[in-house]
Amino acid sequence: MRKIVYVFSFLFFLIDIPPAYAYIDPGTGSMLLQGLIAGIISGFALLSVYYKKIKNFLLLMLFKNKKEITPSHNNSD
Amino acid sequence: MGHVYQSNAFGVAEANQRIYRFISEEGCKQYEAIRSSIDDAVLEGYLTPSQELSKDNWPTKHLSNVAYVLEHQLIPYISYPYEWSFHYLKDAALHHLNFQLFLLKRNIVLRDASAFNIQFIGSKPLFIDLLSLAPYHQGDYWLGHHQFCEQFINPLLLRSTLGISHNHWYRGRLEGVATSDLNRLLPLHKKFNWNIFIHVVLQNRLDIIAMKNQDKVIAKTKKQKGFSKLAYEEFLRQIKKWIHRLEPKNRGKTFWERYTHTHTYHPDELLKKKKFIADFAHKVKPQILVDLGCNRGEYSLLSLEHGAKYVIGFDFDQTVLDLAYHNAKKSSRFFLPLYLDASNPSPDQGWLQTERCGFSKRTRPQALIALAFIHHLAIAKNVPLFQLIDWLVNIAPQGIIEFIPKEDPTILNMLSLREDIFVDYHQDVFESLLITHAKIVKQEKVSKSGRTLYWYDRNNA
Repeated sequence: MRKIVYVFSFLFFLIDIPPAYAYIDPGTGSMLLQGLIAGIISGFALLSVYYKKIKNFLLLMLFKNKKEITPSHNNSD
Repeated sequence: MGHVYQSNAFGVAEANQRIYRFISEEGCKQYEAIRSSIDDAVLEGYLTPSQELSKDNWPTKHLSNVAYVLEHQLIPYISYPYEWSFHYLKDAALHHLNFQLFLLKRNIVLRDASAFNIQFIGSKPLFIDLLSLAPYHQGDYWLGHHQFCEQFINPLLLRSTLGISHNHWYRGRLEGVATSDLNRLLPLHKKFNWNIFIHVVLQNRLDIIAMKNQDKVIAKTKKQKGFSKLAYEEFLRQIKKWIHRLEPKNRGKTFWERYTHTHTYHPDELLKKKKFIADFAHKVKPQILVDLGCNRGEYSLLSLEHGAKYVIGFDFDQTVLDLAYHNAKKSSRFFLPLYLDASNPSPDQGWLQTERCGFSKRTRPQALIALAFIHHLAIAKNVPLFQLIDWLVNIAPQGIIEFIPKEDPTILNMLSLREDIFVDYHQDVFESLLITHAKIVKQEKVSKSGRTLYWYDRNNA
């Protein structure tokens, strides 16, 4: 049901309607837009921060393991 | 003192080939808040260098309500977005976004997003409006987003999605391409792209809603929480990634490798032509040389190798301009290829018709080369030869003009489907007209078909 609502609201925005000519700061629509997508953008930003942190953590673990393996490998020689 | 553009807080004036910026008592608070980051921004190559002048060095002593006077470094040639090719506009957009990301780390934002605030030195973009910088406050929206869309994103989309170059549209509307216009032009399937949906379709719809319900929208916007700094940065980064991927329609990256150029010259003739141009550049050593009909920039770069300091190329063909951009970037010399329809050059326009200077006022080089150029005007556009020579010789005191006779295959092709009404288009007429304006220093026939190069000098006419 949610998906249907999303698709219909998406299509609603695609329908062409004539512009309204009035006196208002042309940046107002952009501010509304930024307010509307602020949550999504913040989500993306947090994801990218955590993605980097997790990636760095995994790389560190991998690097540590390799370091631990290398001396034992040398010792066996 | 030259013309002054000014808000209540700031003004810019040109006097004796020097650019001054005045900061009033009202504007000095904003200036002092961003002052400590200016040097870093200049060092990192984002911002044009400027110097704060002591009162003794102010251009005039009779300045009231002025707190500071700055002197900016002179830009060799001011160019406008409607003269840039797709890739220069793209580079300017990326420069703007990179600069914003750099500034946000220092708690500074750009208050607007005018493409006219970016200039090129060679192919390197530089931000020139120091006082677009203002302190960042927690929760601030990106105030320049709407302007950034119209001045950068929409013109780029025009070419990348529809294959239409932005130059004529931009010259007709100095604010860039209106989001509502682009929204109406884009086919439905393009609107399913996430970025196009957000920045064109949704923004346009919200603009209309805002205009229809002004009071409600203003109240709602005031209540909105605003952007976090993290979201602000992410917003800029996502747009940057998107713009980075934009390329002219039907032109992949392999275009540059696949493109092969066919010369109308035999290799020996080409050598002769190149030597003539190299000798000219070496002898004249112009600070600025203009290359009319620069094509891919082959002779512009040759002139730079042999003594010219800075070359501005002009052409009306978008494909060759894209190639010239590629060559300019590769060479890293001071070469700036720009769009020009010589039969209709950029006029004086904008506020009071002085805001954006026309081609003739801005283009005062020490030298010019016009190779395989004049027939595009004399034959294709019916421009009388005497007017054409008068116009060319007036642009620069010294230069090279190539004359291509009617027997040449290029002109034969041009006249193959039309009547030859060009009774004056002959070499002897060309020569006699040129002599009335300038001295012919040297002339040389460089092709079997009779193509001839003329080196003129009007200083010794």
